[in-house]
Amino acid sequence: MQVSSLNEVKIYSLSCGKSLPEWLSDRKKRALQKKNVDVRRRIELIQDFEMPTVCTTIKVSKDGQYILATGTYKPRVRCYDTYQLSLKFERCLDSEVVTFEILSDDYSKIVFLHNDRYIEFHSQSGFYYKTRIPKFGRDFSYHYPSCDLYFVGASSEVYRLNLEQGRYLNPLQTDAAENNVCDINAVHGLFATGTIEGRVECWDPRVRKRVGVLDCALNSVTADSEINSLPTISALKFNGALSMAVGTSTGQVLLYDLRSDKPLLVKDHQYGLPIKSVHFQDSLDLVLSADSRIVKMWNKDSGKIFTSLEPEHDLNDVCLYPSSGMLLTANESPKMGIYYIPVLGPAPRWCSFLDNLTEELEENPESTVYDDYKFVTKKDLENLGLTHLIGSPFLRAYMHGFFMDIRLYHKVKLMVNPFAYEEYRKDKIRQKIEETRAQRVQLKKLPKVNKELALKLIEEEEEKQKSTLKKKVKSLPNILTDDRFKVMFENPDFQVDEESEEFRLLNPLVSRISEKRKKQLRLLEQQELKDEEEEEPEGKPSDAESSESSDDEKGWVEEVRKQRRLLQQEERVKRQEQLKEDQQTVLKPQFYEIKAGEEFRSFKESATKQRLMNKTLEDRLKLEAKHGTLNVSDTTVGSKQLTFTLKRSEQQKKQQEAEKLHRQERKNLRRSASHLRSRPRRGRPFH
Amino acid sequence: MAAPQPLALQLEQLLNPRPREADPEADPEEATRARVIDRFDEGEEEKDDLAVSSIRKLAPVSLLDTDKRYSGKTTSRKAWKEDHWEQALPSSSDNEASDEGGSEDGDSEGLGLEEISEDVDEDLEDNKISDEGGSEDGDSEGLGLEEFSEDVEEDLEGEDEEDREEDRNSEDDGVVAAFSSVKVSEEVEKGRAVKNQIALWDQLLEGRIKLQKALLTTNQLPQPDVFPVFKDKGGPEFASALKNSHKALKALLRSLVDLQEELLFQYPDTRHIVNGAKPNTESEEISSEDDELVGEKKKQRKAPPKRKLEMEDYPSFMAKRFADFTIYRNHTLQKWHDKTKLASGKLGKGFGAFERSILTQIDHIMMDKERLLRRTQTKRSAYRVLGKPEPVPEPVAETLPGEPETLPQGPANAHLRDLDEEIFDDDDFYHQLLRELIERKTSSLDPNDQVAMGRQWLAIQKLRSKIRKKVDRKASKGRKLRFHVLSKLLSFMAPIDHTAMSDDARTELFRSLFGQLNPPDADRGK
Repeated sequence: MQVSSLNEVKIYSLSCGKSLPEWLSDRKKRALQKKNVDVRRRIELIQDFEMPTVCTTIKVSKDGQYILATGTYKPRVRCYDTYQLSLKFERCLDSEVVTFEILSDDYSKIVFLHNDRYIEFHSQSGFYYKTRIPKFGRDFSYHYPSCDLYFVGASSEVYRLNLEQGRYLNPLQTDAAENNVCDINAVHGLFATGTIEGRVECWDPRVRKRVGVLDCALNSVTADSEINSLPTISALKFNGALSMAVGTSTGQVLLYDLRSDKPLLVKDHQYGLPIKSVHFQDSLDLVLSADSRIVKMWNKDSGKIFTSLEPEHDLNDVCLYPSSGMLLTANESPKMGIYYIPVLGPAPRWCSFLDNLTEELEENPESTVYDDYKFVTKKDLENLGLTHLIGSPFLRAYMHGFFMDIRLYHKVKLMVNPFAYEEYRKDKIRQKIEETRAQRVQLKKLPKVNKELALKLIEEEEEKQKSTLKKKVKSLPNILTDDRFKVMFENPDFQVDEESEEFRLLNPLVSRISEKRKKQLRLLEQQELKDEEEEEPEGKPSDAESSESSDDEKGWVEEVRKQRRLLQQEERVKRQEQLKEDQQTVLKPQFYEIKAGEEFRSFKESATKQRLMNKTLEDRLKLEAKHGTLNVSDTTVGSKQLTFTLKRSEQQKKQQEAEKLHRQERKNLRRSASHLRSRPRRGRPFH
Repeated sequence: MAAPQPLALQLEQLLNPRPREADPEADPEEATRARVIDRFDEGEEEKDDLAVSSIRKLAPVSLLDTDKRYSGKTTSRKAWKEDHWEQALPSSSDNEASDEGGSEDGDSEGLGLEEISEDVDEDLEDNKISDEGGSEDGDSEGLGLEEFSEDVEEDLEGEDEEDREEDRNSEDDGVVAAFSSVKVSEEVEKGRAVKNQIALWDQLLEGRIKLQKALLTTNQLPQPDVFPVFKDKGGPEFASALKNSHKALKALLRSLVDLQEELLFQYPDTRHIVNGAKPNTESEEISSEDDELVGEKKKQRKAPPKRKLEMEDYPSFMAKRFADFTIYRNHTLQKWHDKTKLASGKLGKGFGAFERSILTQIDHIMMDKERLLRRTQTKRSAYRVLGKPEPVPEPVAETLPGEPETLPQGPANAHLRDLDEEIFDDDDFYHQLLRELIERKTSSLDPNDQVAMGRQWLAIQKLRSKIRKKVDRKASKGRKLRFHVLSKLLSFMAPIDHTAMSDDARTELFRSLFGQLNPPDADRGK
């Protein structure tokens, strides 16, 4: 059930919601109701209140028990029993129904006007008789006192079929080319027909004479509107003895008093669509006029709009359930509409529970909860930079600020605060620091347990604060493993002490040792007192530690000596390296000079070679002897001996020099190797 | 001669112009009667003047009538002169002799044989006799048409004197009738003449139809190349049959020539062709002796055809006759052509430039003589010539091996064309004549009946369709309101009256509906 309120008038739509297909079995329907919430929540006031494709007309019987509707396809008529809230019967017809009329109080006598000129009569059991009229019919009315059916249609004649005599009577000859609608007044039986020329012709059924002609076209045209088409009569309805409503094809409704040719009121739908039907609601003096888009309810005296109903689909017919606030509509859709307007009147007797439902709904209005929204003030908007959104649907004004979607708020906030991450990081760091602070409490206890270690730590702190941090890092694992702890502490202490001893005298070292021993004793005394308080097993490891310390002192001395030797060796190596470097520096500039010289010599040699070629052998030997390449030696026997030595090429020289440099580089590498040899010696005593 | 003269005089007195002339000249005639007896020439001259005046008076009637009367009167005067000359003077006979000599000279020039010239002289004498008779008739007659009709009657009946007298009596009756209703009689006679012409034409066509059979058979006869073989093989039977056919052909030729001569002789305009004399000489002969001579000459006429047995002479004879006839033929064709032009004067004027005279058209057609001969010598129907068996088997032989049909047709046509020289075949012209005859006859009878039947049938059909239209179709499918009782709807509903207003109240309301007044209600209600 959906509720819509226009102008403070509530309209309950009882036919909204999902519908189940007919081909589903009952079991499946129930199962769906259980599973699907939407299906469960819907209210099906009348079961199967729909047509296969489209519904064209809908009417209620006079006793109010039966609702009949015609539709297509296939062309059919359906009868719903309101007391049973369900379909009573369905009859298929040969062609579509233009309009139909229920002559009896119940559904036992129905007359259908087909769109193929046939007039079909149905009785309680079904089809009864079928006959034809010469022209296509558009509307008909039944005159109860004389049993005459008046048919108007696409001809100037109004055909009369008497249902008592069972034959046609002479037709009424009108001046119109065609007639669209007709109606008979229930009080005095005046027959009125609306023509295609925009006139209403009134006939007296008693004497079958025309008693009045009313020109509505001129009255329906107002000063503001332009005449685009002829306003033909498309709806006609009597109300009481003197009131008549006329609907035109241009979308106007004119209210007339039969005693005057000027309309009391002209109501324009403003849609320009032909008026389909007009109904009167007497309790509130309302007129219900409907075109294909909207049903308007307005006051018949003042024309003031009461409310309106605008369904999704086009309207074909509207029927007001008599003496109630229920409205039935035939739509251009399978479903037929049921609307309940409590203000118009109470619910019909067969669905009185609607009143209770509507009352309950009014008493318990649901309070709106804004869980997904965040309240923001103007200052917040300024901080976030969203002042430009004021007036847009993103912000909904409320009290002194606005409601906005939380998701949007979060996104904007992230954009506006870029430093949030850093703050988060700082917070994390502080937390970790606090945790570490708790751990420090444990560190304070440890020195109590190890007297010697505590003393050593204190001494280290006093000497170098910076180094203390490094040692602390080392100390932490030492505490966990006592053996390694002791070993580690001894080594760095020795290194530092060695350096200080070299620079200082050996005596202060010894004094210091003695001082240490004294302190140790004092601590021991204190510890003994504490040990008594504490458990016994703690005392044992202290004894073990003291024994080990004495052994370490002896090794320590040896190590000091070894280190001194290593230091000396290192100094020597350094000196050698420095010398080599000096040599290298000297060689380099010589190297440059040689290159320049060589080039110079090459030119001279070429010139000299040419001269040598020209000279004789004797001259060449002399030159060679000067250079040193030739050695002349006289033997004892009397012969001479000549030995020639070849000159070394530049390439060979370069290679020799490169080899020398390579060897020197290798010697440097050897030094690093010597360092490696010294280190494993330290490792042996550990084992 | 004395006996017919008083009759002639009486007839002359009865003629139209004389009573008119007698009345004004009664008194002077009495004084002049003595003069007439004394001075014959003067009287004649005076009559001529009066006649001229009468011609002028009759001019508005019609030119043809005036021409005819003029011709009649001229003949009557000469006749009178001849009569007087024969009775009083012998010099007239000398003139006749001189005329005869001229004719003899012409004949001798045309023909080389003396015998033929003698025959011609006899013919001319006969013609003279007949001319005299014609002149007498002309004198009695006042109208040209009567002359033609009388000539025809004389020819048909015979040459007896008694018949002539009877004819004269009938002539008198005709004259009386003509005098009473000249116009009507003229038209009637014209119609009769047309009928006679049509009948003659039909008879000629019948003759041509019969000749067609003979023509086909003659075309099949053996040709001169092969004829000796037939003679040798034929034997005595063939020889006897040949002789008989030869004789029959000669007789046919004689009869045809005689017919032609009689036809030409009967018509005055064409007599000179047969006689070779001038028309003036013909008109001079009138006496009874001449009549006897005419009979003798006629007898002599019959003799010359007998003498003309030689076949060799016929071609030259026909050629001469044709040459003599062409002049008359051309003259006649031109005359009638001009008359038809005048009849459709307006149209003729419009298209006169395009029309050529008939003579030029005929000359144009006859220029290509070889083409015309070739057409007549072309074989147009399937028949076999005796004595030519060889060409026939050739196409058969060609067809036997199964060669295409087109090839044998070619040589067949060639054979047909080769057989031209010895054949006279004009089937195309013959068929055209038949077609025209059939169309004429059928158009007069059958088509009219068929057309009339068709029209009647159409009229009947229209009436039937009209009857159908009367059917009322709108009543079907409920398109017309019928006021029959529908039994099913009888008492379907019962009247229920819930109205609260009384009749009077309703009446008042309806009267004042939409602010109306009483009188307009009444008018509209009606």
